[in-house]
Amino acid sequence: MNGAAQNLIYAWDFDPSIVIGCIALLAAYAVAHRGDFAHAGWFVAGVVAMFLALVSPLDPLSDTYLFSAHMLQHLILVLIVPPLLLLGLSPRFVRAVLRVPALARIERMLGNAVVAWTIGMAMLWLWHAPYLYNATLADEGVHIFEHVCFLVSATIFWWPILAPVEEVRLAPMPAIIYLVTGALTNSILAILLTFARPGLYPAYLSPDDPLKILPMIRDSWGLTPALDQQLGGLLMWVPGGMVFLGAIVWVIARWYSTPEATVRVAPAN
Amino acid sequence: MSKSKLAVVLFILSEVVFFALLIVAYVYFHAYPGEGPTAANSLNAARTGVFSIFLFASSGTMALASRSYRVKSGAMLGWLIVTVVLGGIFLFGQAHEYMGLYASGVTANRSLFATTFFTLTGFHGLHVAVGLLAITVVAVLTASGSFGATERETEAFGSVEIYWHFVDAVWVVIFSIVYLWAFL
Amino acid sequence: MSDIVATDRIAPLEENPERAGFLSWVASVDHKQIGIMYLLSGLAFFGLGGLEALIIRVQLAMPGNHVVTPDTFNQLFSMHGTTMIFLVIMPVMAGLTAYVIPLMIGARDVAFPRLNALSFWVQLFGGVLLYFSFIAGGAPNAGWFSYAPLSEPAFSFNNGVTYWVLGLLGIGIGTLAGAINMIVTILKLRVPGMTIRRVPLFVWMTLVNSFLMVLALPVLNASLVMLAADRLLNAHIFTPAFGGSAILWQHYFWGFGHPEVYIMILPAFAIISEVIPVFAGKPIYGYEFVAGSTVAIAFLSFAVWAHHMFAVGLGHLFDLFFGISSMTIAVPTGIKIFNWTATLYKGRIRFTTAMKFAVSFLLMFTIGGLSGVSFAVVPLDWQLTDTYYLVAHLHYVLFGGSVFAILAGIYYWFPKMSGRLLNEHIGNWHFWLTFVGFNLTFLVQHLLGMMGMPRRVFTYPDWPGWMTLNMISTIGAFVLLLSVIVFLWNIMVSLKTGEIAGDNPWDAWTLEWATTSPPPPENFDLVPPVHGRRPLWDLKHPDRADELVAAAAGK
Repeated sequence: MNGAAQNLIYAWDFDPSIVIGCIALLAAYAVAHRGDFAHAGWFVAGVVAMFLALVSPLDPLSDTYLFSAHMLQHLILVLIVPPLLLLGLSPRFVRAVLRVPALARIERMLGNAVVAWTIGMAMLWLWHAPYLYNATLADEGVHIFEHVCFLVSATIFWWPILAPVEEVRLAPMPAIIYLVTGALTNSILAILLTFARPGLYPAYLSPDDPLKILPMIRDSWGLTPALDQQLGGLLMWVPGGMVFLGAIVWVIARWYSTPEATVRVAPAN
Repeated sequence: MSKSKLAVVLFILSEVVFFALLIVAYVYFHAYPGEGPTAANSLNAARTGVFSIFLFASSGTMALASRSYRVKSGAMLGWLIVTVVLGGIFLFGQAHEYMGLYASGVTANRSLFATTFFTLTGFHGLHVAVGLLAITVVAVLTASGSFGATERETEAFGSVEIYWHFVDAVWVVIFSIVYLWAFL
Repeated sequence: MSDIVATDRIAPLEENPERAGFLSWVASVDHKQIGIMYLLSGLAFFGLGGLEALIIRVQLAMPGNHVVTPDTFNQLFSMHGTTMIFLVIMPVMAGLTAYVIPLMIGARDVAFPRLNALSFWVQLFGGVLLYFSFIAGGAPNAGWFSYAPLSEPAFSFNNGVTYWVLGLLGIGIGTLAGAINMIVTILKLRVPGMTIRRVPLFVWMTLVNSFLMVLALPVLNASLVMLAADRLLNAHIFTPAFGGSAILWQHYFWGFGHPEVYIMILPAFAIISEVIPVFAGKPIYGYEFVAGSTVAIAFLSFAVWAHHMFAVGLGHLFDLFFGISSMTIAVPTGIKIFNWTATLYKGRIRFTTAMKFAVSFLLMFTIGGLSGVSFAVVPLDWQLTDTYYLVAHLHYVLFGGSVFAILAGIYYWFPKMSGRLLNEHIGNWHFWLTFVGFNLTFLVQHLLGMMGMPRRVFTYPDWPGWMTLNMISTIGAFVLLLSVIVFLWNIMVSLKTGEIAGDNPWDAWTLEWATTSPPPPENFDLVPPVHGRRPLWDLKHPDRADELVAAAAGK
């Protein structure tokens, strides 16, 4: 394979903060769950997804070259990682946490459906405002802050749907509404990005080329800045929407497979 | 959730979609303006901002009216009337703004900004007017002593209240996008 | 069994004093009367829309025909589409749901009976306003979706499109109110014991469909309002020559238009999900999958609208994503077809007329679905869009699909509404004439489309094969006319001398069959207890109850 492709494939960046962060996350999980590892597979998958999104060649592609790559990275951080992490928590652990009054209070506040939905959606929209987005590309500190914001706000967003404990989850029908309205709001932002004039985020118009892969991107891949921006919007729109659909199907499947107690009906005579 | 509240919430859901589409059209033509007057050279954000405060205050007085209704403190009618007056001042401000724009030649067909501006704020104004009508009906019924505190009446009042807060919330969004964003 | 209303007492419409007189119907807020009025108005507009179609087919039977002028032809196909969609299919579905839903959930009426009446009359008024255009300068002539800038004043020679906008606004408001009403009814007025997971699929699908309406109709309303600004205030939102965007109209309209086609087919799915199990003598196969896939379809219907715009030049990337999502939406639909077919398997099938329409729905809708999926292949779409292949596709799903399901539903519920069964012998004629006429009319149109005949052309050159195929299609249309006459004949004859139906002529299982035919004004004297998805079955066969009921009882 040619040199540019090789450069890309080998462009892994094992940033110490990310490596340590992921190890710490796994360690914290192991300690907190103390042998209760029935759901550990999900959690590990979530950490692996986050790790790969942040250290694989996807990262330099996102940071420097392509809006669409950056979108893919963010979609993983917002739509894949938090659900996996939440599914990985054991009900026993969560119940234990909720027995602490201060933590239960926080859960009631942030886990409220309207609050969680608004936090999730607002964070999504906010960070795509050109002023803020461009700042993340210019300053690594802001960028890290953005990623932390995404991970935290997305976890809050997914909590009412995927929390391991039924009592704090939304009932199935409100959950479906929550997800449908979330998907629609996500779609509107995606539509704006797809149809925006190219150059919404000027850094992608003529990026620096430390990996010497720009000709490959522009010529072999055919990704002009305009197409790249459109692709980013489309990724958020269609595959992003599909994740919401998957969540809806999950909620319905869970709902219909839970047995229902009989409802006492007064005899007619 | 009662029947009335569920119905109003569903109605509001449909209205959110309706306004969202008008807003998207506005945003689209703001990004690709044709020729003619634009937000920046036609609108007075400060003056409209002042009138907006009256509208937002009316949400507050509506909440106060609701509290009076629940604790039966007798101040409900008063707060309802204040709400209608505050909302009416907002509408007056909008009418004044419209007349000013028309006088300086910014008619609905003058430019794409003008069309989408009038359509968006016009429909919002219409919703405000309808809300004021509903509140007036409640006020009149209260004044004549016919508005009691049965479950049905409580739910009906709650529905009007939710609708009114929604109308205000929409204005927060519209004001930000039309008046504030134009000057950023 | 003393808790079921067991009598075969009929209370025909004439005997019940509450229902007497024309005026009582106009002022009625009873969901049953409103439902019937929806059906009657739908039937009347079906006649008008069908007449428009017949004139179109006569004009197209031969190349170079001059039965109507080109402008009249434009008005005819615009009104045909608008009528059939907004004044036939939607009101008839609204009528069936208005009639059946409260009965199926054991309620006395809908949540807001006066709003229900308002919905009907506003819808009717919108339709009358639309047809008024014929005598007020000319009907809308820019197609049923009024693409800009053709719909703009610069290119319109009459006020027709303005009537279209205003009429549809009226209809849209009525439909939206009806949808809100139906959601509140279903969520709030179910008889105790009928949890949301136990509702008949007709109810569940109506619930999902109503949400779809709440989210999609405002998109239409916003689009219409902006078109009205262009037409009435001389604005230029959609005129490119003045900086507007014609494509914006397409996005906005199809943002409504695509969910709209699912709004028209979901009630059909709902009817089929009731009719097939009853006449196969088996519960629906995979209730949960049918219910879940309905939500998936509703969700995806908002994600595929741009597949109506593949030929607009939005870019290959764009087309690719929407092609993929359009193929995806075939999956939940396919799941349903599989479930209905599996319900038939090893069933004890009774081929009543209702069942004939229901089973042929499966075939016709699958054909329509396949042609639809073929459009998701973008290059195929570039060739076939806006040809008669598309006309064939849409008629297979909307006629072979929605209308066949409506006819199944009418044969199924007519006895409940009138107290008498529709004649099965005449029904058999009706069915076969419809089936043959429909396929004759539309099957050949696939070929015409592939041969290149565009839609909406008032004539065509005498190219090889075109006249033969068009003539076949026209003959089919007249066979359909015959089938409609036979149908009307069946209704009239059966109302007078049809076999008395009794409470439950089909031995069906849902609650509407636990009261008289027609039901008394309050619907039920006593509602049977509900522990599962088929209350009347459970009552009749306590030893062979559904698994749900057994699970609930702790077995």
